[in-house]
Amino acid sequence: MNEIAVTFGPDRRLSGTLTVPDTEMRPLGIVLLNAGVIHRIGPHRLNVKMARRLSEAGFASLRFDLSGQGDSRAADAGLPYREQSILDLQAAMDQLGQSCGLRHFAVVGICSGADHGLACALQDDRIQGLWMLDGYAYPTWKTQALLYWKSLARRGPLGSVGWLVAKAWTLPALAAQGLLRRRPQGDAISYGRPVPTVEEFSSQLEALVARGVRICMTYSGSLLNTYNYQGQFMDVFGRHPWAARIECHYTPHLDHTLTPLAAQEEACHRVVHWATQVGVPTTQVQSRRAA
Amino acid sequence: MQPFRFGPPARQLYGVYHAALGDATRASAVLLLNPYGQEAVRTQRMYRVLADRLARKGHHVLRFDYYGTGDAAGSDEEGDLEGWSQDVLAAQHELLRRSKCTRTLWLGARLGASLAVLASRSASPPPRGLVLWEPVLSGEQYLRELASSHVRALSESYSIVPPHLRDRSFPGEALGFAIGGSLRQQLRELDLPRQSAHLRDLPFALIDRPRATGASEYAASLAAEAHKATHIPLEHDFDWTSEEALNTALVPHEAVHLLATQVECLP
Repeated sequence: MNEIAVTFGPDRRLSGTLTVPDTEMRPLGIVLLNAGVIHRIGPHRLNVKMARRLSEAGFASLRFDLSGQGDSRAADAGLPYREQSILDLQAAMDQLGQSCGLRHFAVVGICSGADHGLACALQDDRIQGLWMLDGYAYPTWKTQALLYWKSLARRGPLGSVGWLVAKAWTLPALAAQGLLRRRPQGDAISYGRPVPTVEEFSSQLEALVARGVRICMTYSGSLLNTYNYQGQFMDVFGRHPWAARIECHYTPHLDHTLTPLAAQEEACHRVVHWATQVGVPTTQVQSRRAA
Repeated sequence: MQPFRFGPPARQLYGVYHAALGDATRASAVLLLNPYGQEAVRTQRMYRVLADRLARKGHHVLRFDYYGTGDAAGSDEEGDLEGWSQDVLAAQHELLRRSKCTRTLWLGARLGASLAVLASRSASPPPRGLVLWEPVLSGEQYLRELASSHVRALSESYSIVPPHLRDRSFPGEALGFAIGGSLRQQLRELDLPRQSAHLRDLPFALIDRPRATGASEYAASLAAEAHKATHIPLEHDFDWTSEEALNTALVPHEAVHLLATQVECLP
């Protein structure tokens, strides 16, 4: 395995680390990026550990910092954050492609990194795979019911009574403020990320599945308010034919930033296993980008 | 800002060099020493801002990742204090080579400050001064702090902590990073006041919270022997280990200002 520091993109302002396997290289490059404000090593150095595990399996990867984050300089263009992130991801694929002779890529993203990967995949058909930890989540009535049930179970009998009394105490004030309507989509764990509507997200996934992108969505045990049971994804999207073609896991034993070493190990294993199943077009047609 | 890898092939380190801007003829060289684990993740942005600021003031700056940390080669378990002390010396060598300066000043936070003290014993040339921000004085106590922070991190990160993670200790890990046996043993033996005798010959500034355990005594004992010691209290709400960047500043301005000022002030 070789690890190489690279600067790339316009004015070479983006900074990243290439990890190139010693063994025969697979025809799929993996791009890893920031999770929230954490620089490119990832939460608890997860991106470094993941890149090395991927390398052992024959995957070249590039972990990099988006414009203005980590060791990358800010962009001059003044574009909106998401648009700039898409350009940065495309520059990362260009770099990984040039360095390793690759034309097809997968993006592994956590939290906001998952959002950026999704947005880029919608615009760049070089992306053949998306692995997302705690991407967009859409609660159902069952999510809400389980939220209260699990909250009560966690507090125990006495604690639950106190909690319910406190809740009841606030109801009149909440009603007066009109805050008892259905919770808006997205919640605090999204760190302020704007969440598309169910319909928008649905059409995005449909387009990607139709294009043959292999998608794996993993939801951690940190999203009690928004994703808290196995099968929630299918409850929301199951009526669509494409939903069955998306791999989705609810993993309450993993947390949002994969703090326990065992959680990191499992995440690495899951990503490597998933990456080996991402299909790459056998026809070496020059990929095209959407305008 | 130039990212690069350096060091021997078997121990590749990752560094970012910030060349002095403007009139580099008055330039000096400053080496930034990372804290450990999650604290290093937490301070990455602050170090970048500090390095940029120092570069604008005419200093060449190098920040880097020790072996087995950050973007450097090596696994978590392979990091230890002795190896990291050697990495500090390798980084100083790289900084001198790139900057063409003859001396360096070292600035470290938490365990990075402790490493500055330990590594300065065998540095050639020795640093011209040290800026130490909340150094870890007792490794034993630091291990206890890491253990309690780890438990706290689990309770904050999980909505409901899984049963298999409750009410147990985590001897081999702290806040998402593996601690090798060698590092654990060296931390148990770390007693910085007893390992600081050589500082009498070195100008240094010690920055710590008011009433921080042992800090005043440490500074006083050194000041009794050293004529160039400065102890500066800094009250701040910077949470070294938090994964939540929501409640404390990612780049506390007053800390950056104070650190940059101390670099300027040391003789």
